[in-house]
Amino acid sequence: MGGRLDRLGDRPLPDPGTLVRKLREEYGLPDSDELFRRVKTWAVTGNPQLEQYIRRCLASLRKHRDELRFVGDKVPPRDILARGIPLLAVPSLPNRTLSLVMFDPDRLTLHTIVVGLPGTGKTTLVRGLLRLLSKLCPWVRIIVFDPNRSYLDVCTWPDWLAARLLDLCLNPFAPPDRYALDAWLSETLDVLCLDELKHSRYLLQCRIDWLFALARSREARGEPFCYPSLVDLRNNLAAKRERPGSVMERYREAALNVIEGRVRTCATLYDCARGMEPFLSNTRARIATEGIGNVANMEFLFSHLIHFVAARRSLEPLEMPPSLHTLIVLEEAQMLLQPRAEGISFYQNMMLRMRALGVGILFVSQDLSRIDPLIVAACGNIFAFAQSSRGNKRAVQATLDLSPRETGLLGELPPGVVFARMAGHREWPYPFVAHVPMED
Amino acid sequence: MSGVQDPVIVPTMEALKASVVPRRRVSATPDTPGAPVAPFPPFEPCPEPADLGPSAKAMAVLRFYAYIGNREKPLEACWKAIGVKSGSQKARIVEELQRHGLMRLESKGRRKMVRLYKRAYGLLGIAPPKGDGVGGCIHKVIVAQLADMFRARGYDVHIEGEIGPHRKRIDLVAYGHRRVVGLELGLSRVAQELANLRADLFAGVLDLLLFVATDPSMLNKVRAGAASDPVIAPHIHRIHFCLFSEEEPS
Repeated sequence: MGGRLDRLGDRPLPDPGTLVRKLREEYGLPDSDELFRRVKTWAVTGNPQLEQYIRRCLASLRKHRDELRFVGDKVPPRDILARGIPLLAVPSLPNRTLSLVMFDPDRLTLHTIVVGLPGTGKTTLVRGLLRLLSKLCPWVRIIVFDPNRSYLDVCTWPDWLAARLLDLCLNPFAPPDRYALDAWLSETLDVLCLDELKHSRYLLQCRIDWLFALARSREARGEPFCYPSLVDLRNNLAAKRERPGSVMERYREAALNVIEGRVRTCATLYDCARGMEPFLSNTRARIATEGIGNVANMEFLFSHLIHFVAARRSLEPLEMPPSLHTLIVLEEAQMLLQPRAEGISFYQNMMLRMRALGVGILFVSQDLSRIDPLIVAACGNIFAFAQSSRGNKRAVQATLDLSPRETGLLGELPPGVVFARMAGHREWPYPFVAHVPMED
Repeated sequence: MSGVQDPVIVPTMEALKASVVPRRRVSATPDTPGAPVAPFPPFEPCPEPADLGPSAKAMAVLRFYAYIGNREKPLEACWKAIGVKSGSQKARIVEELQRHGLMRLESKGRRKMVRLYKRAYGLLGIAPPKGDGVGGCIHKVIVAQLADMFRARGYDVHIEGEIGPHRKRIDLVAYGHRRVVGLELGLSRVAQELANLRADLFAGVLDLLLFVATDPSMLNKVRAGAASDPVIAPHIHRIHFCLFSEEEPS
């Protein structure tokens, strides 16, 4: 200690402004700390005894910081992150203990991404978040897509609706109440024709128009109006062929193959005139998606539900800034959000639109480098657990704006320790190391 | 955090299932994946139901051209207005409208214009327009542009207006504060244009007659013919000969 103090004695103290910023950002001292008052007095009086005292405090803080292995270049003071739900803990330097910091749930509307190796604590973090949200923010609607049964014990009745894919009934062609049908059908076709069916859009539009005209003619005869379903579209495509050898016939065959695959995902999933979307988008539900093997089918299900949530929410009065109304959690997100030339802009547009609607999406994935940069750029909260591959470390470094020392730490983070960054946060936009509280 | 909001109501699975409206079985093909699939029927042209009209985009084209201010606009302006970018989709929409007998396409040079048939107006539920004149699409476009220029100068403009006791139809007549201006657009033969000028002057209501041509040789020939014509020559001071350039109309 003596040697360290001697070395410090050689260096002049930085100016008071720099010193205050250093104490606050690098050592995480709250505004109420006594040291700030001393620094201000020293700045006015220039008292040498006070200067010596400040030197000793700085040396002590530096020593504690050096002893902490997993700490970022900057440590958030507790008084900055003091609003929200107690999601994370950060090291408190003077006594090297962990102190809880708050996470504002309204920040979830900026979308969140959680990445890390298996077993590092991704699911634990999300489970903790879901528990806290259902207790402290009971008005928040949540939909969890759970392919691995990771949230089986968290999402339990009566706080949660647990639904299997086999139990669901959805109709992509039935709009939310009061939503304009033409606009809905146009947007649904965009969802339906994301990648494989982009050339069949016109054909599908004609067939859907035909099905709706049929339903209206039945309604005119006095029968109740029934929205056509995806099964109706499949049947229509199978029964009515275009001219043999024509381009439209090829488009029809392609559309039939793809839609047949989606309908076959589950025998009853799309077999209804009015589905469960109005209920599902207005409650807390865990949807077990382990039955869907095909990525394209899962993508359609996910796209349809977020589209429905956004459309429904767009009809309700909004508040500025938007508070969290609905949270959608997607596990194994890298399957859907891989970099690709087309189709990904749909998600980007939808995410940017959802920000204003108070709807947040939380992606959980293993590899950040396998997620399209457009999606990463649209996420305002990033939690990165330990990484092993060079590509992932580089992606995390670029996304979180980590220093070389912090990037080196990425490969050594123990389970439950995470680099977090809340981009655009008014007071703390810097990355910091946090601990995920263990489950009871 | 947020203020008081509507609490979440978690329904039971039974309530969720009860909210589903079952689908109406309308097709003969099997709905369930496990059921045996019948072979596809042989090709037959799809029977169109009686109440099924053109697709939504095709109707948008009809609505665009039914608007009185859009009738002389080229097809590209329509695609831009209704948001169609794909070339194949444009071709399909045009083909669909022609197949339904709702329009014909007029093309001259690079411009493509749409002429709606009466059936299209009937489909839209509005009366077909009257008095569009007999000229082609280029004639109409230029007259429309010149009409805009007169309107900008405060004239009351009538396209294919009738003037004089014999109700002579003229390409454009503009009623200003102090004078009445007639306009003849010369795109056809010289003799025909001279005959038109004679009839316009004979109506006796025009203070000024503009003869507009897009071709300089046509303009010179008509000017020379007018100077030597015994009917037109005494009134030649009331006739202005103008060359019209589509790129720089002035």
